[in-house]
Amino acid sequence: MSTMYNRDMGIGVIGAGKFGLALCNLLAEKNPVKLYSRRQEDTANFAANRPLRDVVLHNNVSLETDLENLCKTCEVLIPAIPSDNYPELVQAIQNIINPGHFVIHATKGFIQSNANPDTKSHRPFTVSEYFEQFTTIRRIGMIAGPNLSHEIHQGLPAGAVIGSRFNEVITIGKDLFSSDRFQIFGSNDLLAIELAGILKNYIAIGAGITEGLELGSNARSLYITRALAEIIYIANRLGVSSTSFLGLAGVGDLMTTCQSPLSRNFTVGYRIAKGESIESIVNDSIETIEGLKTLKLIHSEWRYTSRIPIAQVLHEILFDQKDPKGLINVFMKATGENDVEFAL
Amino acid sequence: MNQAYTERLPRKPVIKDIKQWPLTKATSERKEFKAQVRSRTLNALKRNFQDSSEFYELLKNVIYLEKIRLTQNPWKTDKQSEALFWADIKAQMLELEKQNNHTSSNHLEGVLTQIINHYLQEILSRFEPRAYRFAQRILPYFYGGLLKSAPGRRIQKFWRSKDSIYDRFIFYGDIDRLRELSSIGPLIVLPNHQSNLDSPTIGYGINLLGLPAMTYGAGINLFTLPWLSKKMNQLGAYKVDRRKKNAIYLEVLKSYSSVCLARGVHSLFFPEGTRSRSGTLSNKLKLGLLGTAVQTQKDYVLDEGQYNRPVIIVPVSINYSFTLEAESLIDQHLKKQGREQYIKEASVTATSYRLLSILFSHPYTKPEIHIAFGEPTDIFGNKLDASGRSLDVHGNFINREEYFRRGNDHVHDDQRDSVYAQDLGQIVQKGLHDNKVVLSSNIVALVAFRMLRASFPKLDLYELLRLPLEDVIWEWDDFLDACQRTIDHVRIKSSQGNCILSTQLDQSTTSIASHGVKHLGIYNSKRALVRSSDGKLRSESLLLLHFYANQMEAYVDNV
Repeated sequence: MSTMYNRDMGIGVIGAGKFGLALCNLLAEKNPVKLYSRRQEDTANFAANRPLRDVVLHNNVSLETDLENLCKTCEVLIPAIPSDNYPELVQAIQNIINPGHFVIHATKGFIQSNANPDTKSHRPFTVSEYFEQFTTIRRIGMIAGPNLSHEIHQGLPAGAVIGSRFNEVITIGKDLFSSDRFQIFGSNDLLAIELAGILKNYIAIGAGITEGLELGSNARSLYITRALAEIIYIANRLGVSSTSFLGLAGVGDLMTTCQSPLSRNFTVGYRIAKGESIESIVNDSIETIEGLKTLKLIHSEWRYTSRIPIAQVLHEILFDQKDPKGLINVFMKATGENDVEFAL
Repeated sequence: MNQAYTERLPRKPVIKDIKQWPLTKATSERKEFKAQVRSRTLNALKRNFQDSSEFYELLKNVIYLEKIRLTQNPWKTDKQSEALFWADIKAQMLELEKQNNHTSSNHLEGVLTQIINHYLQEILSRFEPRAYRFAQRILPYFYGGLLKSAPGRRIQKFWRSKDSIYDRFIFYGDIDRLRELSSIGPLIVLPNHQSNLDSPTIGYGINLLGLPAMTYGAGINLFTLPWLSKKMNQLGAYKVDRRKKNAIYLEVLKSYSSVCLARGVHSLFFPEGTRSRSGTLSNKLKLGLLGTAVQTQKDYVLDEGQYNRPVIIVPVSINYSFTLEAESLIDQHLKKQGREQYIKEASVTATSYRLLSILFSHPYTKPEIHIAFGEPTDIFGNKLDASGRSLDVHGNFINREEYFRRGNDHVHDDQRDSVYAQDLGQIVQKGLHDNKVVLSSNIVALVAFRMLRASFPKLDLYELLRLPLEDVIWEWDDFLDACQRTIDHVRIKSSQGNCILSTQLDQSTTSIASHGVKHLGIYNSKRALVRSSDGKLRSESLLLLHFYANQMEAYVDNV
């Protein structure tokens, strides 16, 4: 059977952020992995066997500083970079990659592109849509789920879902990632998986606010449930069915990011509720906070509908300096709604 | 600005000798051809039904479905011998069961082969160069009558008409590239489907452009008249029976078109499956035969001799200012959509006198047929250069083999190929949409209907269609203003690549509007729009107006 990954394909992880490193170590348990990092200091640290961002890398990981070379030697590419960096990445590799490449990305954010005037009217792209539009790679998937990099580095058990329209990609992904401590599920609804991952980010900011305001567990669960209805509404409007939101990438991820102080988006909300300004929080953060960008995009595309109250209030709190307590109204003053109308 | 093709028609054939056309070659080797289809079907079925018990179930199921079809849904085209054939097959199966051989794959394969042969006999067409040449000579007279022009250049004087029918067929797109590509790989021509006229029109259009004949599927219900049936067969049509939906039949059909493509035979099929009832482009394309295109491309890259050969996808948009059967089409559509809300207009029945009289009516019109060929692409939507190589958006060459490769291996993966076919469906859909040629008649129909809707905002569609016709009047000046706005809008759309402006739109707004009103639906028993003697615009049938407006609905956001 040749349905599985074979070693002559090569695995390349693009991006040496915390999550990229976590994926690297997971992959390295079974196969040699090449890691691409564009940070100068990483080369020196790697050569000296020092940890990168406090993460000790597996022996199977090698560092690659030439992106072209990475794409030439690896047919499975695993980009784990902020959504903003994709246009640059695609530009750099568009002449090297070919339809024989596989992509399993780990980015939970939209890409806005005005590079092509034909697509100006297009809503923001998901990563897979971006690749389909601007490269010849077709076999694309995403790995998503409740995966806090910190816990993965500790070796704690976890699971994820690989979404792809191609079973091939799912099989390869399962083959590469699954282990005794990491469980992989598959889904053919790639867009739903991507949207679930993207949309939960801004929800997590609100969850952080409920924590910061010390509203208690009951209120937070109330908030999360209403938030789930809201993101499913958005997904439905984008042509995606609700089902995938009940899985790991939806409810699974939501439960983790909305509970854990380890989540970046959650932390943003928490600190806002404690009175910090958004500027100072962004300045403090080393890594991109996808939730903020998602919120801006969702707000600009959907501001005229009354069906996304959470996004609207969060936008006011974060960018118009409104009182964080306003969030309480959203789930306390909603009237006459059915509990689970979103699932129908 | 328009992109009309300016070479003088008819073009010289790309391949002069009909005997050298791929379709002629394929059908002259009938025996091998049949054997190929047979073995391909058998292999495909064996892949899908792996053990003999599954095979046995399949056969039983097919026999059952065929029995139901013969008894509950008989058509004139069904041969008498069919019932006998299936009775015999059933007897064989019973015999196998009796002897306890029904799990032996050899025995089952014997039965299966008989069924495949039976279907193949029915489907298969035989292309006759003689019949083709005959049609080539007859068609100009037919279209000459329809388009009110001389049937050719030589006999122009005799018909006392200044323009020949070649001036009434207006083509758009890179025809020269298409002609070049036609000798590199099989073309799959995919036209939109509005009218029964589409088949002969595209067939004749292809001939005018000098492209070799194509094989095409035609509903078996069109084969009722024996002489017509023979003619259609001879022109490259193969029979498709919509009632047969069983796994074996579908597989034989698929294998048939695969073998045609594998032999480089150009194919034509209507991806919408059936004529559009509402006038709009269908958004559910038939993926089955697109799957065959993917399959063939895969076979090519795995075959050293044909490694560089592309399967070429060509969406085509056929546009007329009239749809002969518009009345019955929109009637069927509204009946289905509106149910009890829809009340039929009194209709004029078509008699042969009427049919004759319409051909001689409307003496001052010059109907045209506008056919736009979309940019030829490979099955992944990549552009092709003159030698058939695929190019990505940045102009890099793409090795098509890569799409089917995993690591160093070529991997058979039906699921992957089915996703490719789905995507191809999207590409074709977009191609059909973007290549619509906007005619003057499209503009007037849309404008009139939108104005009507705006002046009765409280009525729903069915109430609107029931309005007494004496209440429906358009003031000519208001109408012109609205036309102007719509034309401006369409110009923008066309500059964004969302449609093509016809040569008719090169004129002033007044000329466009007059031309449109004069030509809109000229062969229908009632006129969708007429200018009455007081200079105002009226309609004789709002249903027809609605139908023609629908053809443009997707291209104009608001007036």
